[in-house]
Amino acid sequence: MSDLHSNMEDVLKKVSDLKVLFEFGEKIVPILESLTQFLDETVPLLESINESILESSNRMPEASTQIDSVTSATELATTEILDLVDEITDKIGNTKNILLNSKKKVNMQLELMEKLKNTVQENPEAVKLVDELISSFTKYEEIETTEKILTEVEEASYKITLSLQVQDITSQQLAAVNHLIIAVHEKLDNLLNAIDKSAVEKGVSLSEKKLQSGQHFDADAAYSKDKDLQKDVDTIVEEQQQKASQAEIDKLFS
Amino acid sequence: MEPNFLVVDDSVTMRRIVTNSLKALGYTQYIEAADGKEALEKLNANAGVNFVITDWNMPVLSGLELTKAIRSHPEKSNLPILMVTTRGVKEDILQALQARVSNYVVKPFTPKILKEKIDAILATV
Repeated sequence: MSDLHSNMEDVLKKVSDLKVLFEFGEKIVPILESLTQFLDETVPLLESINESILESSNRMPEASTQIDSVTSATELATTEILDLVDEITDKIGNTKNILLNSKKKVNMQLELMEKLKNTVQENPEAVKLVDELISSFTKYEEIETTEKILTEVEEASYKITLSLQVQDITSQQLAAVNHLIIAVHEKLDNLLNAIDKSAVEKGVSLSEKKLQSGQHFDADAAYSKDKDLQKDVDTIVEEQQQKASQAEIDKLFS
Repeated sequence: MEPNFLVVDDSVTMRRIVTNSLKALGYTQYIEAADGKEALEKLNANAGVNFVITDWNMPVLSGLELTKAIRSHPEKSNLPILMVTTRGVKEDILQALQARVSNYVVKPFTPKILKEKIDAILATV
């Protein structure tokens, strides 16, 4: 009889637990429902993010290639400009040689005219004609002025050459950007692989351009005509060279 | 001493600009290399080279590595080396001096600066 009583108590306890569970269930079901709804809404969002990352990642090699193309194009254009400047410089050199010969010829002709003038000095009409002939001749000074202008053009051409250093400097900046793109691409690829292994199976191209260990660019390269930059460098070099010289002297006395 | 230059730079443009500047300064003897490795090969093949003008940032072997290689070379260790680079921060300059470059020029350079440095180096040779 007491066993039966004990079993009944157990059953009632279990029923009571079950009642608590049902009450808890009633409370949790709406939460579970909203969680399910949240997940339903979140999954497409996550898929969209995943696709967006995938799309961005896929575009990166293209961006990187475009940067390479820009560098190649500017290098090609720079080489063409340098070729033209060389051609101009050569032509200026040739023209200067021609002018030099002209100067010699003018000198010679003027000397001959003076001789002729001396020969015909008893004939005033002839002297007048020779003088007119002399004054109609190309002036020596005019040739010198032309030479001066040519030298100025030559110097300007050379300055164009020097300004083209900007190509090397910008190509280093572009290489730095390229390096950054490849690094981000690698990170995104790793992220995509972690989120969805199928990205690789779907044939998504992974970074073909792997980061190289040695950088051959200066990310801080800048095209600056600030003369103080070289002065600062010179100061450091001089300081260090003086230190080195002093160290050598000290070594001799030690 | 008539300088016989080895101009080392991976940029075709910069090699042209440096060699054009050398020509403008009256120097006629020079050869070129596109990186440090090629420079070492050319140094070994051309005994007449007695002055190196090198960039820092280059593929394969950088200008700094080239400097170190030259300084530890049994026959070429005393070659004058002028570093011409975009790297202008103090740490870089000190690193280059530690590797024993003879002098240092920041890009963009002018022929005047180049001449000054070449003359200063030649005066000590």
